[in-house]
Amino acid sequence: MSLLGLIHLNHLRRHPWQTGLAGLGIAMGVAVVVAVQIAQHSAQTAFYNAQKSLSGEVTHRIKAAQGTLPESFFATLMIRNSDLKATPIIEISVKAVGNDQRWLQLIGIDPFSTLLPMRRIDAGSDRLSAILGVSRVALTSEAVLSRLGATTTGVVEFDYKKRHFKLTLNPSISGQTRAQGFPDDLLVSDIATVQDVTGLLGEISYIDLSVPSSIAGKALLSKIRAELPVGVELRDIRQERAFRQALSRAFDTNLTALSLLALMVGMFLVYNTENFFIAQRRPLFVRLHTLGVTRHELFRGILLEAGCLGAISSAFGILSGMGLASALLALIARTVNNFYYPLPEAATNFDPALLLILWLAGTLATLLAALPAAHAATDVVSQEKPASSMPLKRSALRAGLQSGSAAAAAGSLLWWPSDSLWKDFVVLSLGLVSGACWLPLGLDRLGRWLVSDVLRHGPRPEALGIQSLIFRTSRASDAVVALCLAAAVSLGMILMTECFRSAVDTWLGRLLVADAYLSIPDEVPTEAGGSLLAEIQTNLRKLPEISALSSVTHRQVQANGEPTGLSAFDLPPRARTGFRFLAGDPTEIWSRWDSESIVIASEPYAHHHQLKLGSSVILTTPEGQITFKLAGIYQDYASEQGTLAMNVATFRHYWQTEGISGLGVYLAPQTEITDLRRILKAQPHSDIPLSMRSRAEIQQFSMQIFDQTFAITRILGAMAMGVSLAGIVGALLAQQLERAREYSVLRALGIDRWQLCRIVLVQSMLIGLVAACGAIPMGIGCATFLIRIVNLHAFGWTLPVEIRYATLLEIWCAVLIAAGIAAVYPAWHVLKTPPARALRYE
Amino acid sequence: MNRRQWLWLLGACVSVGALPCWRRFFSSRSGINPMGFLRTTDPTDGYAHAGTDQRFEFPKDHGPHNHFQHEWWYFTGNLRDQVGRPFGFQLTFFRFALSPEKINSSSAWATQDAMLGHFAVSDIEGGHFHAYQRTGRPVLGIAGMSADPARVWIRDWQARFQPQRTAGWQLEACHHNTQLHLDAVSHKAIVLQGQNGFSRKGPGNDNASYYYSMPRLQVAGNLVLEGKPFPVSGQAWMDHEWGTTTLSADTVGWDWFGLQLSDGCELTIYLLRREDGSYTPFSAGTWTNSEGISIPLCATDFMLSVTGHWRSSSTHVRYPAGWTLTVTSLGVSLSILPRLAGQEWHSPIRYWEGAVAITGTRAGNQLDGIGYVELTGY
Repeated sequence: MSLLGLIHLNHLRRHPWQTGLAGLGIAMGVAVVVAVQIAQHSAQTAFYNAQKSLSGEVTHRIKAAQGTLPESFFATLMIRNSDLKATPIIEISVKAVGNDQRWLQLIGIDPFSTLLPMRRIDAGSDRLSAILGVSRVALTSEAVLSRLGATTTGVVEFDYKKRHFKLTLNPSISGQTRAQGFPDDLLVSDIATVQDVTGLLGEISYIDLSVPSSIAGKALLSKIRAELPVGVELRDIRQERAFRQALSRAFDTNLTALSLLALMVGMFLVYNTENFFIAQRRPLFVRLHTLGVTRHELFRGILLEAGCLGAISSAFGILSGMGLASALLALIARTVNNFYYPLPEAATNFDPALLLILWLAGTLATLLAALPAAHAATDVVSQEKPASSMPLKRSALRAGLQSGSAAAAAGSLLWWPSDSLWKDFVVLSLGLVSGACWLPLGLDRLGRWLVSDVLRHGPRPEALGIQSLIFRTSRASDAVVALCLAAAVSLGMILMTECFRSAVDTWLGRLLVADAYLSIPDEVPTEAGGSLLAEIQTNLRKLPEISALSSVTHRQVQANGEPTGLSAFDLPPRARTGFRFLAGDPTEIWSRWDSESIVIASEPYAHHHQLKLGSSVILTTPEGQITFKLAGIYQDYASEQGTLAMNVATFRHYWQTEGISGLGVYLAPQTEITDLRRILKAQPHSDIPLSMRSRAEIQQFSMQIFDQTFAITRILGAMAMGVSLAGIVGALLAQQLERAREYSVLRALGIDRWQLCRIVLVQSMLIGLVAACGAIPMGIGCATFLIRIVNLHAFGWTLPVEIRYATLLEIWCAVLIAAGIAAVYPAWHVLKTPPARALRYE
Repeated sequence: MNRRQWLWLLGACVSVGALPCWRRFFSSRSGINPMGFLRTTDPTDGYAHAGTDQRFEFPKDHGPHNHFQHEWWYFTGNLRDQVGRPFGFQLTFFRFALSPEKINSSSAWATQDAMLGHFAVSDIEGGHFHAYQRTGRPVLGIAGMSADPARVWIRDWQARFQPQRTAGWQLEACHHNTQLHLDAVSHKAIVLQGQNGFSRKGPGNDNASYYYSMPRLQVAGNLVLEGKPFPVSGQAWMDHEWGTTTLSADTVGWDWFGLQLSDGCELTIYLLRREDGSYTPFSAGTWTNSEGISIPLCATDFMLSVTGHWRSSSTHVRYPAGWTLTVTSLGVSLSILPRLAGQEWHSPIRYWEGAVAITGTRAGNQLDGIGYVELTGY
């Protein structure tokens, strides 16, 4: 390595704290990006692998919109399409008699099929031969066997719709756990056995297909689609899988954006530190230039220094990120599970290519951040004062022009016709830059006012410090901008979260009007639970203790060719008050609800599908594809993908099912919740666990989930704030270095060390004050943008903008406190530096 | 360490590292050995067993025999298109019983049997072996077997006996852009293998099957190979065999030859092989002359020598690929060579089945011929 390179690297080595601080910034930024990317990649990989293992080669599924398919349809399909890979499946829920009445999923397959569900059941193996024919044998896992207490004989009695039968359980399904995304309640048997023991003769649940993505495959699908009877649909499993994964796309984008924010803050630290190093080594650079080192060589040397710092810090960042990824994955998995789709337990998946790319990105980011400093080094040797030592540019015109340009760019981009979240983030960034352009001017004006008006009669050292800050250097403006931006973004996110929370809380308070809500736990199959609730509904209607009942039936349907949630409501007048319509007249909507076959859509659904009043929605029903008119759009925060809703009478006209998913109970006056519990205990099938919750309990639980979900954004926001504090420290230290002789002269003139400390503190507090005052309006603007634009594009929700003044005050105080804390180390540095050394250093 | 020591160490590492490859090269086998299906250790009570008192009735016996544990209908042949481009084909339907008795169930999926189909085309000039498999259970018309008229099918693969013709079969198979449609007409009487169709394969009373052949079928029809049509004609061979626990425990495989000679004679030879490569005394064959008169051959009547080998790059199995066959009593001396080396089925069932070319003499007269050879248990 050349002597020049050694000089640069030795400087890093001799200033471990500053080097460490800059390195820490990059390492933390890279760690956050790495953790987010690894966690997202791991979650997606786990979901994808579980779905692939669960579905094997299956690409499509033929299923009736309601009920079963005739097995003769399968035979015709196979005979007419000789090259088709297809297999029939019967899938039902059965109850184990005794043994806590556990519900299990019994699947009947054709072991001779070349297309088997679940990759782990190998064709031609001894395991499959055990279930061949009407063997009354079912494959299952050791876990199920042991849960059922059937480890000795393996014979278990089951109940299917009051039909009892016995199966011999063979523990041959191994290595599949719920954590991996597999159902842990599975029994697999021959289709003949299942039909024989359950009496489902002539019927199958669905047909799984494997069709290649080729021209011939597409032609085959078209042919099959044309031959489907009414009420039978052909679904693309891969498309549904991709659709499910895309549900969390907005969430993933937001997470990535926050992680990039952390990286940018790290880059700022590098920029700050390199500037400080330049200031420190100005005399050295001048001497080197005198000895023949060119400006180009100096430029390269600075970049080499930054490159080494970046490479090593990024490597540490990668390692730290890998450690953080596990914790972040747990948080992400919880959110995805709560809001989007069941996610199997994922192990962190470290993709070497991804890690390499992120390492390179961290190193490049460091080089980018060091470019201004490298350029400044060339200014040094040209005997020009570095820009950071120049007085602040005081021109309001200049600030206005810069701000206006950024605002104009933001405005132009905002009107660009695109719902891309990345476009929104760029607009937001430009908006913040536009606001930040005023900060140096603000620092200058406030400083002058303090010096001239406030401190005129007060102690002089502080005034000297302020003057020094504003008259002699613009380095402080970098620190102000960094702290202000970090505080503004944090404030914006906090305000947005608070508005969101408030909106959800209000919505729940309005929607939940029943005294209690009944539902069936997830482990009970839908069909059995739905029938039970329907029976309870019928019984409760006759009781004087119950004044009214509402019900909802949830179903996944195909709407305009896409899987969609449909809710069929039975709503008494009291329950209807809970709906707030954003489009359509409520009176007219409810009138049509009772008399016509219409649908209403939740706000996110209408937004994502660009629906408005009167739009047509085509639903695949057992009677074929039926067109419904959209009569209203209602506010709903239950899901970001949105749902459709219709009257239960309309629903039952097409789907002919009596089962329901949830009941709302309105108690008569003088009736208590305890009375309701007593009534429910007396209902039939009380062995099936029923979930009963009051509206207060539901509201509390929902807000708990909400708070858990936004824990991630709070953590990342706090990290951004914390890292920006280091910027202030760096700015103050650089300030001291440049003013070292000045401070020494002041000391010689009689100012003591403590007064110098006060100067440092006042400088820091001035930076903090300007940043805090700037962060308030910028934070409010950021929050408004996030609520009105980003939230709408990402999730389709409109939220009211409500500013809590207490939050504004909290952030304002937090910034000032942070600025005060940031002054501690520079003040200590001043305390311990003897004035004589400072003079000699100069 | 000096250079020589380094080289020695490097060589040792390479050798040790290559050891797994050698092991794989010599010892690994992929695919299922079909012998397992014919030598099951499961109790076979309830199944019928081959005996010497069988009376064959045709065309009824062209159909299935469900009381026996296994059965197959084997069609192989050599074809040429209009310009003489040679092809080989195989269409086989296997039946394996799941239960000796009819299943007592109301489900239409309940079946006593499972079916397996193999369809292969040997493109001799192009050097490619196209092999396809289907499985199915004979329910709901998707697959099945019928006796009157005899028909066996799995979806659109079928072999159908056409009683209006003289011992004629219609063969059809289709897999994507490979299709075969052939009409096969027999110009010779059915050959009952072994002792009037009772073919003993081992010392036990149960080690036997019923076995007949139609050794000379004239075929004509269409072959579509990778989308390109070829009108074809040629000669085919049909075997139909059924039994229960046919093979003895010491039999690991067999070599079967179905040879059609240019003088109008046919020769069936099957050699039952032990683990050490020797043949059991129950190896046998049948010579059919041009008038259709058959002479059974026992193991001592013929001698087979292997003249070459071929190793599969897929399964690493080493098959014989070239034979000399001598039937001294008939003055027959034949040299048999595969027309295409890689005619191997390797997944999930492993065996070699392919078209062969024959040259030789009989009673001093030069002759040639075509045929098919099947090698199992390697």
